[in-house]
Amino acid sequence: MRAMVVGVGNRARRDDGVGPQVADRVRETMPELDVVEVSGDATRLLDLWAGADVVVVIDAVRTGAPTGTCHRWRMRAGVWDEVPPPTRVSSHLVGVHDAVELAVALDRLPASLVVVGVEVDDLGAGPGLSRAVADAVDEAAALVVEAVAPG
Amino acid sequence: MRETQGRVLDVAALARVEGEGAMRVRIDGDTVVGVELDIYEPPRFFEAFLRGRGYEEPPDITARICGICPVAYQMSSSLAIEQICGVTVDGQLAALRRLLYCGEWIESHALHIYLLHAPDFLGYDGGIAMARDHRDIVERGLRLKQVGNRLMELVGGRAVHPVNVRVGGFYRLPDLDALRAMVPDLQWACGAALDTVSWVAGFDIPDHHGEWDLVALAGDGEYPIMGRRIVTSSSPDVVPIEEFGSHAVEEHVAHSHALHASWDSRTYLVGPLARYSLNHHLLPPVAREAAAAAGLGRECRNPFASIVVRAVELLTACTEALRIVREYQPPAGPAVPVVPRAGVGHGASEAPRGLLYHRYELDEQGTILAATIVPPTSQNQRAIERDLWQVAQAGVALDDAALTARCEQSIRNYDPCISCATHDLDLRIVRA
Repeated sequence: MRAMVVGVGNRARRDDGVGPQVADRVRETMPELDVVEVSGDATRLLDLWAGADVVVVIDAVRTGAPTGTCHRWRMRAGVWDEVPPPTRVSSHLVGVHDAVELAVALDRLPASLVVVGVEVDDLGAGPGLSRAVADAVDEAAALVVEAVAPG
Repeated sequence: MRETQGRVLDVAALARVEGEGAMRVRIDGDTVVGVELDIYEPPRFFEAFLRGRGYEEPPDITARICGICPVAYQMSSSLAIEQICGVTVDGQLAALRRLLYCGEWIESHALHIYLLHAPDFLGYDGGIAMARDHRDIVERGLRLKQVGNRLMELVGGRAVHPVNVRVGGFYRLPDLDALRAMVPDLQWACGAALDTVSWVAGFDIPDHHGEWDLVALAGDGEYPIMGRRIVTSSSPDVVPIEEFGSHAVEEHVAHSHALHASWDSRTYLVGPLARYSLNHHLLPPVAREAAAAAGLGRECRNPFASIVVRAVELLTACTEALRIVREYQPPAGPAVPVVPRAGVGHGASEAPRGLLYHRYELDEQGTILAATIVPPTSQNQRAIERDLWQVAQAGVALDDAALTARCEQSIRNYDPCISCATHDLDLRIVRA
């Protein structure tokens, strides 16, 4: 089984950098894992996850929940387990949700896909996360590790 | 939703424009009385952030401004710093830079043509709906994008925020075998890009004439990507980029957070239409022939036809990339030495969306005293607004949904990069 973790976001846009920062934390915990970073256009996910069985994508989201809330959405065989993530899940050009829908349309989904979303607040210019978002990094990383852990 | 006395149509965010922004059209009876576009927040934070930093840092820092065109920021900043330090990067190192930049053009243009713009012409809500009916075509677009990404990885080190670029050249030269192994993919890409031109040329393209001046870099024997001279449609004079700031003036307008730019006090446009119209004679023959076959003249001022021009530029970038890879001979080293010195430098390059200008001032130690960054979308905002006014007036008889769709398509004609805005693009039509 090949697992892959993708942190989506721009580290120079405050809380939008939470995806890459959670990915950093996961890399520290599981150095053998394939962990990559995507900023901007999420259609790159389709190329990146080609050949992977289990993929976890971490992204900044705004659903209306309190800042720092961690969400987990799982898709298996093209169907979301629970309520799917909102359409405008992120601030990116072609967002993660769009990329997933595109993968469904083109039959290019991994067998198991998990989206870990962290509720964000500040998407202004500059590095660094809001306090509440920074505090959520460990919890989000734990969700990622749980999703890729064998068994 | 109500606002003042008028009817307000609240429509979905303009998801196919990069990032977020806001647009409002006000209509009184049959007359458009206002168009307000607030889509771009200029990178003022980065200009301030750069002050006090070292001369070698701008390529890394400014690459973060845009997830779609990091190479443009790296190149414009490197060129400006190199000018101050009296360094010229030429020969095969310059060719590698052009190759990297071609990768960015391929990636950006393929994305915009296939997933963002074509759905407008084919009657789909977006690229996903289009992919369900036109799977092979969308796969072709994604594969073209992938070729661009791989060029960026090979030369730039990483497709997003390439880490291998430095002032003076690169940290490492690309792997020669890996570069040569790109030839079959680039040959395929040239064919696919040619097919792209034919495909979009068959679209039903509305007739429209944009009323703005055109501004682009002048090509120096080849279609312009990096350069030191600017040409315009309004004057036969060639402007050195050192004089950019005395022609292009940014000013605040009441309704927008963004600055609106003018060139010699006139509304102007940068980007594919400007590059093409001012440098048609420098297109590679295959691209020139494809443009003619697609029905494009030597000049194109129809923003709806920008999808065809972008396809011609996609073909140009693929053709150029193949040529550079075939001719590549590894240079002696990955970079030329750069010793800092005090001074002011200017750098300009053609980002996929148009001319991107950087200016830096260094002290003797190479510390940045001042930085100015003028991106293409910030320059185009005024032209887009003016164009939207015309498009909205011409379509004033349409119902709100149809007029909104027409306005959205018009914005996408310009491929605006609005990722720096922090609010959702909220397109409203207000009828008094």
